[in-house]
Amino acid sequence: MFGNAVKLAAEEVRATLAGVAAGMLGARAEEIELAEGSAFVRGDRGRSLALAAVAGEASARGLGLAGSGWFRAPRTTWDHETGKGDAYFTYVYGANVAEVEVDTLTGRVEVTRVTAVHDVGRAINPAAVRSQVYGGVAMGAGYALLEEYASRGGVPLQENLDEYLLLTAMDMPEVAVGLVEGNDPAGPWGAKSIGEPAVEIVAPAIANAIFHATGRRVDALPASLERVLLGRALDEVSPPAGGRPEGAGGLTIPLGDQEGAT
Amino acid sequence: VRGIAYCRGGNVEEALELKARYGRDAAFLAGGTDLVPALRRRAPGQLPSVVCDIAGIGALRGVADEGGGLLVGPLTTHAAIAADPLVLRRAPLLAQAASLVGSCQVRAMGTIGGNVCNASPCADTLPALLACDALFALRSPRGGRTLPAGDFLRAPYETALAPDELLAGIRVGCLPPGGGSGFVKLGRRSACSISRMSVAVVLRRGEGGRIAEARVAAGAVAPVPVRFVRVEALLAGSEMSPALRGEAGAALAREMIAASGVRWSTPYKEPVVAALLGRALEEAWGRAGGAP
Repeated sequence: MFGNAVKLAAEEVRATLAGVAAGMLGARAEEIELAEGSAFVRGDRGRSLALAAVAGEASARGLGLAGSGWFRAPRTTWDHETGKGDAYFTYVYGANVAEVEVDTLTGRVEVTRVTAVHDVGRAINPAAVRSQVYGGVAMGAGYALLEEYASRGGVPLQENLDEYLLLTAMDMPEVAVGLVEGNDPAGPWGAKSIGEPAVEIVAPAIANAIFHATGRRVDALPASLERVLLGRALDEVSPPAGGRPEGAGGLTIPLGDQEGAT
Repeated sequence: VRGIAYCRGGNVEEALELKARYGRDAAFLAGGTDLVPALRRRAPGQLPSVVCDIAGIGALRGVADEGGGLLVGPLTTHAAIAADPLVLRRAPLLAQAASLVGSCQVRAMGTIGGNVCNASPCADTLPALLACDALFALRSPRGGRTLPAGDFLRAPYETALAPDELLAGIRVGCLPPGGGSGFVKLGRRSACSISRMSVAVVLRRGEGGRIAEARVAAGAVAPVPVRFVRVEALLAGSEMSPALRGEAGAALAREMIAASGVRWSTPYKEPVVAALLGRALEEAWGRAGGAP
C-alpha cells in the first residue's frame, strides 16, 4: 500500500517536470513524455531535452522537485462473532518445493534446492522481486534449520551472530524463482507484495521435505541435529519446576489446557 | 578493545623477552581469530593487560621436511597448511582438518599455533595432530623442551605452557607406508561452524586385510581432544569390516562417557560419535588401499 503513496508522490514530481519541459520545448504539458533520462514531445523525439537540463531549469525557477502522496487502504470488514467479512482487500499466493538431504546418522539436514513460485501481481522490477525471494529463502531456511533465540531468566543466551546462527553462503541452496504475474486492482500498477510471503513459506516446505525423507515429523523449529535425529531437542538448561517437559526445546509451546479448550 | 597495551616481537628472542617481562599478564597475538573475540568478550579482570604481537616472525612460519616428519611453524595459517604440497602428501590428515576450520576468512588469518594454544575442546586441528603423533617444541629464556600433543593439553583452554614459554614448532609424524587417514567434522552448518564433534583416524594396512596399526583421536567428546587407546587396541590386528566399525564406534562412545560422564548432550552424542568414527575409519581404510 506504501507503493500507492509513492506512486502519487512521484506523479506530483512528474507533473512539475512535465510543466517545465513543456515551457522549454514550446509544447503543452499533456504532450510531454518522460523516459530513459529525457523529456520529449510525444510523437516527436527530435524535440527532446535531457532530464538533468529540465531539473536544472526547475531548480533555477525555484520549483521544488518533491512531492507527497497519501493513500488509504481499501476498507476491510471483519465480524468477530460470525467470523465473516472481507478481511483483506487482496491475497498473495505462493508455493515452495524444498529438496533436502538428511544425514540419518547425525540428523544434519542440507537443503539442496528450493523452487519458489509467487503470485506477485505485477513485477515492476523482476530482478528486484527475484532478489527478494532469494533473501526470503535464506531467511526461511535459517529459521527452519538454525535460528534459535533462547533466554534464561529473561536474559538472552544468544547475544551475537556467532551464537545466533544464520545460513552462510556455503549452506545456501540453489534457488529457482518463478513469478506468476497478474494485475492486482489494489496495488500500484497492479503489484502485490513479496517481502514476507517469500520468507514465511520456506520453513514448512523444508519441514515437509524432512518428513518425506525420514518418515518422521519435526514439529518444532529449528530442525536441529538433535530434533531430526532424536525427535526432540536436548536442553542444557534444566527446566524450572512445572515448566517445560524434560527435553523440550526453547521454542516448543507445551500443549496445555488452554489449547485443548479452544 | 580499551586498556590493553600492545607490543611486538620482531624475532623469537624479542618475543620471549617480552613474555618473560609480562608473564601471565601478556598474551601472544598471532592470527587473532580466537584472541581478539576473547578480548571483547571477557570480563576486564580476566583480560591479559598486554598483547604481544608475534605475527611478523617469519622464522615461525612455513612447513619444512625433516625426514621422518614435517616441521610446521606455529604461525603457518590454516589456509597455507591446507594447500601445502608437503602436508598434502605426507600428512594429509592435517591438511584436511585445517581445510575445515571456520571460514575461508578465518583460515586466511588463523594459525595452527593459535588453534593449538587456545586448546579449545573442539579445536579442529588438535584431533588431527594427536593422530599424527605430533610433538610440540616449546621455548623460553630458560631453554627448550618437547612435549607430545597428549601431554600438552591439560584442561579445556589450558595447556602445559609456562608463563614464559612460546610454542616454537610443531613436529608432525608422516603417514606410514600403507597408511591412510580420515577426518570427519560434524557442525551445525557448512562454514563458520564450531565442531559439534570431530574424529581423526590414521590406519596402516597390514597383511591379509588386517589393520596393522590404528590411531584414533576425537574433539568435543572429552574435556580436551584426546587419543582413544582402547579403541586403537580393539582395531589393531583386526580385519576391517562394517561389524568392526560398529564395535569400534560403540567402544568410542563408551570411552566418551567414561571421560565426560552422562551429560545433557549424551543421548545425541553417544550414537553420533560412533557413526562419525565409522565414517572416518571407512575413509582412512579406503585411502590406505584396503577393501571395504
